Amino acid sequence: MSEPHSAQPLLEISGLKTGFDTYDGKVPAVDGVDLTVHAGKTLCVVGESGCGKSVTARSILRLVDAPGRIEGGTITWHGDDEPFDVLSLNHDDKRLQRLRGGDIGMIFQEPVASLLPLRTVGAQLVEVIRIHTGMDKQAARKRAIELLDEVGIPKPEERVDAYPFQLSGGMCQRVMIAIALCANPSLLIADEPTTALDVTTQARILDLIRRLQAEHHMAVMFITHDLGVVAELADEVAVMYLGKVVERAGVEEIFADPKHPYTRQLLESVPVLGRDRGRDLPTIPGTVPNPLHRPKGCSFHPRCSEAIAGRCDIDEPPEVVFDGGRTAQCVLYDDQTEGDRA
Amino acid sequence: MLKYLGRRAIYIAATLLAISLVVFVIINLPPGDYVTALRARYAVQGQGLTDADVEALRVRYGLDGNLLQQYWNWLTQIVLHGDLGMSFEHQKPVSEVIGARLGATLGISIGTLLVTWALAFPIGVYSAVKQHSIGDYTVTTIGFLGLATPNFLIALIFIYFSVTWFGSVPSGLCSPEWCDASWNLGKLLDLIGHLWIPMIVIGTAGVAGLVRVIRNNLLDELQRPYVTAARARGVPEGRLLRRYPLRVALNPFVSTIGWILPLLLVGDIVVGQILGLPTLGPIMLGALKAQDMYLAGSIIMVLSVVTVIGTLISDLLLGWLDPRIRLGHQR
Repeated sequence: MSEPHSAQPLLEISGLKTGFDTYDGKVPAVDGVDLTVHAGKTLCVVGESGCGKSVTARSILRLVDAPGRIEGGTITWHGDDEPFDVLSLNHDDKRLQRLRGGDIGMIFQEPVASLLPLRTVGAQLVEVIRIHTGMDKQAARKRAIELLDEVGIPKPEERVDAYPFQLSGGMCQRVMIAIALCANPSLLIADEPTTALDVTTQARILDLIRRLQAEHHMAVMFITHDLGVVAELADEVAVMYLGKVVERAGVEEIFADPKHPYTRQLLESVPVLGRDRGRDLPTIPGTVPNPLHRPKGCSFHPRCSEAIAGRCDIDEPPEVVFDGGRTAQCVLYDDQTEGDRA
Repeated sequence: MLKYLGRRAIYIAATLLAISLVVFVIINLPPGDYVTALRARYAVQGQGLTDADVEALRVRYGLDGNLLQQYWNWLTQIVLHGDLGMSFEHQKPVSEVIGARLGATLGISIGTLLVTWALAFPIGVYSAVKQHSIGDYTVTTIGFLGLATPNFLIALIFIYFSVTWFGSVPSGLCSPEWCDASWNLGKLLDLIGHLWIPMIVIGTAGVAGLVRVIRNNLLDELQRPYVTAARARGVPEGRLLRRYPLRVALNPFVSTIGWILPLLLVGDIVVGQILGLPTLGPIMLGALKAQDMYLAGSIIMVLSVVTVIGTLISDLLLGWLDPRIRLGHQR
């Protein structure tokens, strides 16, 4: 990380395990994830579909539905004077409710489906404002219109009475952002918020998030599979593969000097305008294994060009910490391996 | 809105006209008519009817014109004079025959419906919210049994136990000593004492069916993204359930009004027959068997009108409840 200790940790995930009980067995969607979100900074979590990035995000607010279950780890919230473990709260704890939508705002992949179709966006906005601020109806409605204006919805005093199905996907995502912002959260979790939107809308939503982050001094945890978005938004990056964080680093470090072979191959598979004309785009060989039959040892080794037989297919890779605090889960940087090479 | 209602009214009139035609044709499809049926019955009892008697009866009831003419007479009488015609079998105007039983029918039906809703609603919600719990499995199993057992079978079982244990058959809505009495507390208590049997018998399948409808609707809605999103905003669980998925799951419920209304009017035909209930169901069955065409035709027409009106009511209610339907065309 470029400035690893300049910002205070706001949210610290440690050893998080979230599994899903299915008829075929237990799927460990998140398998021992460590992440830290620093106050005011943007952490991007990248990975292929099914790597557990969304489940990680949902675990933070305890939104994992049955048959999913958080099985272990801690999620420490440093936003209060006294840090506490979110996972130790009861389901009906008032603190958990205040965390949801109060300290932490969250937006989702499907903005239209994330709003109740039967009530106006204003009504849903007012409801959340009143829950978290205790304003009366009229004040809340005024605040709702202000918020809609702030997220760039034209004619907010008319749109406040619109139903979600009357607005476009981009507009609905703006409404979702307005709802997420209503209690001035210190963290915004964005779970692939632009995936369902077209490219121009995508860019506008990203601009909006960046502007609001600066104005509200929020931290942002941004879940995405789009490396372009990562380059644009991130301060820090966490790369996930099959339920594990395989590499964590500052954004410049990741793009300039990726350590983990998976990160490297992921970056190589991004087309570069001009350079890649007329040649095949490199791809990562193979497919993501079924999480029910996770490969022994490093789960990436069957697809890894640098896998060491007898090590990667047997032992779990160690987490190697580099200078400046960046990490990678790979034997290539292990002292033992370095010793072997020497 | 008025334009919409006007258009709907025209559709309704056209639908009812078509239904009336079909109903009349179907009632007259079996060979013979009321007089033929009457003659056959007399023959069984050993009394013959002479051809002259038959002819006199046919003329009296206007059965000799062609079908179209009979239909036209029937329809114009209804539309112009509100006259549903005479019941041959009961020797009374149809409106009197129906009117005499309407009170009891509606009483039993509405009572059953309220009990059904009151039971089915909380059970269905519980079953969906606690999916895969022991309670859910128990409710679902009992529900399947209730759905699979025909109502008349439950009625027969009731009669069997009533006879073996109390030595009497639960029949009708009142005990003999109260039936002709004027209304007082004693008669009311007696009525309540009788009413619970048809309620349970008719209500079982209703509860079972409705529990499944509510459970499935709610399960569908519970996994929608807006539920997770609302939870992520800190909406408290109870309020979340009531104002989000439950609210959406209620809409299909409203659309059942269209076919619940006619059921309310007739009551359960077979159960009515078995338990000797003074409802419209057994009357309709009798009218169809005796080819009492004005009575049968009138009951079916009344049912059709009620069905169509029920559908209109449920459409209007849905439009009021669901902005997607109300504002759908504005998109």
